[in-house]
Amino acid sequence: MKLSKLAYNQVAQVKAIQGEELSLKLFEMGVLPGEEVELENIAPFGDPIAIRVGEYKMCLRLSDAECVEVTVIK
Amino acid sequence: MKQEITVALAGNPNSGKTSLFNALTGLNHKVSNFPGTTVDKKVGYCKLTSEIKAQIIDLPGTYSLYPKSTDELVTYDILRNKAETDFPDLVLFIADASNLKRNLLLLTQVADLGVPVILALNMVDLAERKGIFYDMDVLSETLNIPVVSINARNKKGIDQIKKLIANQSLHKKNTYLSLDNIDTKLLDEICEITDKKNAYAALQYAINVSSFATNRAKQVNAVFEKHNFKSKNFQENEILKRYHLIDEAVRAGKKERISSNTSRVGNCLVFKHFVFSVSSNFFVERIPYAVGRAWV
Repeated sequence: MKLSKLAYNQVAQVKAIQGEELSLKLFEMGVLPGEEVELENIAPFGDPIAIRVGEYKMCLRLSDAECVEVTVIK
Repeated sequence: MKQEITVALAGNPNSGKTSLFNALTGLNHKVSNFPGTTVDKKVGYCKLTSEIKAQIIDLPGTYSLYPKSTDELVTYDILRNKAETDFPDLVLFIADASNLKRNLLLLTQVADLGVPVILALNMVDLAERKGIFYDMDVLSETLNIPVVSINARNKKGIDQIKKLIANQSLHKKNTYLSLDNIDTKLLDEICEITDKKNAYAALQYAINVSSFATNRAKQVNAVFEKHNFKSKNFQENEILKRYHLIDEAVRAGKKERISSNTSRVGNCLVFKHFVFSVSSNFFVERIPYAVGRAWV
């Protein structure tokens, strides 16, 4: 499933990130394969979204979130 | 002994570099609660002892040494070049304790460039509110660098930082990332092209210039191609390896506090509910009053 399709408070695990540039940037920010992410907020009109990555909260564009493949845990 | 030490303040955006800069130098630069406030380097001075003075350079925050914007480039340019007049004798690295892992990625990169690093752990109170406690001695041991807990806004731990900066016998160079899996011939050639002795610094610099249209970029790309070196793969591997090291260090440095969450009044659910109901009652009662006043 794509990270952009996550529902509120749904927890998922990162599987893979598409795109070389984006995956490097997200890796640096701690979005690593196996890391737990949770959808915490959605901005008005649905973009951007705020996700919890490990210990902190990060905002990202929906178009970037579409490149992140995740598996839902709960 | 050198009379003036150049100290660079480095760290992730919004981790308190400028707050610490202000606390150390007595200057008053703009501080705010969002990333990207400092976009250029700032210089100030701090008297450590009667003999030693420190030149403090405040740098824009960055997440890694592979810059993606111009303010990140400012930081990278100062840290990468040993011939630069502003090249620091020491990096004072400020990390947000409530989000330590991501912060330490940059620390390990900076240390690998061959500069001594001291870690100042900021926002410890925020981390404790989240129920995360660190043992500074264990962190210092696992990371093999001096670690100080500070509060940049309340100026806690500043004297300790000053003492550490002045005591040059405690400054040590450290390497975290091993380059054993990289062809030594490639590293030698890259070191020669980039005119650097430190293999990581050379490779890192080569990767950053490889996307430009310069002669050096051409040389670098030729060497990369010759040895079938994929820079993106290397970078990905580098980050994963660093996070692996950091994971271990952070896990070892965490202190267990039993029921730390419930014993704190601010985090107590019942208390929160009480505060919420009292405050909401307060507002509900005040509205008719305010409306009434407005009519009169």
